Amino acid sequence: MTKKELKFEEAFERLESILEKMNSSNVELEEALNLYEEADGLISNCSKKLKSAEQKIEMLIQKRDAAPTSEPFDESTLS
Amino acid sequence: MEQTQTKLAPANPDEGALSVSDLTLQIKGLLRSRFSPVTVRGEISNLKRQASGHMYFSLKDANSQISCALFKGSALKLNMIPKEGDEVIAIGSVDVYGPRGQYQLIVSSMRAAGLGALLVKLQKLKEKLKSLGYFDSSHKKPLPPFPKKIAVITSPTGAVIRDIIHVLKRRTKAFDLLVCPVSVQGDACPEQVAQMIETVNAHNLADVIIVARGGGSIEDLYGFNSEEVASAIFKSKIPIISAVGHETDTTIADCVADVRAPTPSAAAEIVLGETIKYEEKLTQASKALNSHISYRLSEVRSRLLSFLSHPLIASKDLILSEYIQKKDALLHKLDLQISQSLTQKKHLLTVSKERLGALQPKNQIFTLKARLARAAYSLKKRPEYISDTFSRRLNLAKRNLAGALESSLFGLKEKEKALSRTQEHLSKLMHKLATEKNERLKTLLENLTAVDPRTLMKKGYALVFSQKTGSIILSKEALESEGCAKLKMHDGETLIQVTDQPTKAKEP
Repeated sequence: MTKKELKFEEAFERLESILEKMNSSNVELEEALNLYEEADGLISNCSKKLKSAEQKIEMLIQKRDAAPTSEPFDESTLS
Repeated sequence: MEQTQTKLAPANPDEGALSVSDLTLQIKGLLRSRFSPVTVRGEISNLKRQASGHMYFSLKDANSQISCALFKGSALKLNMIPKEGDEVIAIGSVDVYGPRGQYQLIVSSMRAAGLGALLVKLQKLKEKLKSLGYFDSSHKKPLPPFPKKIAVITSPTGAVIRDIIHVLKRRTKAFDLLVCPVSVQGDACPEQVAQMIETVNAHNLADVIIVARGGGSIEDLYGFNSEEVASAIFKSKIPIISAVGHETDTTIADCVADVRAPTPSAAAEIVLGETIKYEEKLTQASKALNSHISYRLSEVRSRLLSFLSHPLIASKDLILSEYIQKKDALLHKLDLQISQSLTQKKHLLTVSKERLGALQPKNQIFTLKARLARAAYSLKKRPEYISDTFSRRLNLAKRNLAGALESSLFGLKEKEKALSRTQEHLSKLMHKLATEKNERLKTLLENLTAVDPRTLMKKGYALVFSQKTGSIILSKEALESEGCAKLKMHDGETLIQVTDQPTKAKEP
């Protein structure tokens, strides 16, 4: 977990430095395109990490003498 | 009062009487100044709720009762719902209701009684836990920045879980939620909550736990002030956010939890705070990146377009015109050279044809004949020329020798003989030479005679001369055009007339 976070943050730092670099006007177009490609990859990687969960809502079912399981949570019962 | 009596007594005894309203007003003022505010404990009875939201009831104990009014504004602020028979502590002020001549308590706030003992117990527990280090910030675990799975320990029904789900859904999609049902009040609450925390930990069911409950009285929140729950929270390996009660009610659970959220909704905001923040940052970064690159690209595109619209590129003829013209000029030159060369070759061909014509045997014969005639003519003159030359040279030599002889005769007698011998020899040589020359001359003459046209003529050849010009006629055409000519034969000349038969006319 810690390692992943570090990677994520490193990626994010790199992304921010790319944006900073691109905003400074003296970047050649060729380099800007390369940076864009790299940044695009970083963004999609970071997004993937952030969105690896899928908004699944479940309810824990406790059983005697057995590991707990879960079932989809019925939100319709909530007013 | 005394003053009033003494003042009014001497006059009309009636005059000292107060109106009921005056008295009531005075009583009202007196009670208010004395019993406002006042805290009173009693049991609720005769509870009446008005449609307006106001509540009327009596507070009573074993011996007494007092009418109470709880107006809507205050009723809404209560942390409890008053019920018949509830032992409560009410705070308010004593007032008089004039129309009925009744005094009553206007309740401004009210809470369940028995709190004192509870609070004392709570305070003691707090101190104990504090001494155990349960509240120390050094024990607080940081929340995972991007929790995938969130366990919510709360009642599976009701506003709390609904609010949490609502907030999470509204903010992001990046979460999985596990609802861990427990009862959040009553005697079962502490054990269930504590056990649930342990279960989630034991099976590592989540990255973060939210322990939540809506607001309530201190009794309602009892479970979250229990040592069991505090201990379970403290021992949890998984970071816990507590969101119990309203912001003003701080429970022990709130103190032990790693993070305290003022409300369940706030807990939902906190738990995904980093995720949301980074999602927003990523969206912003993506936007910035795209707008930047599209700006750069549009810049380059417009530069390219301006290049393309440059006259030199827009019309390539401008660049090429020079070369096109050069090419045309070269082509023209080439055409010219080819036609010139062709003309030359044609000319050469014509000349060659002409030459070829001249080389025809018929023509050659004429040429040779003409040359022969010239040769014959010069040969005829040759012998005279040669003898003249020799005799001239002979005479010259003779004179030279005679001179030399004469000059030598005086001093050189001994050379006389030699000289005479030489002379003799010379004369012999001379004679011999002359003889030889004469012989050759004779032969030449004979040869010449053989080729002399006159000799030829004797053999039947004839020369045709123009009667008008006297020059030799070399061709049949010339002869035909002359009409008549002079024919020279070995024995003389005669005139000839060209008749209709040209072939016969040419024959000698």
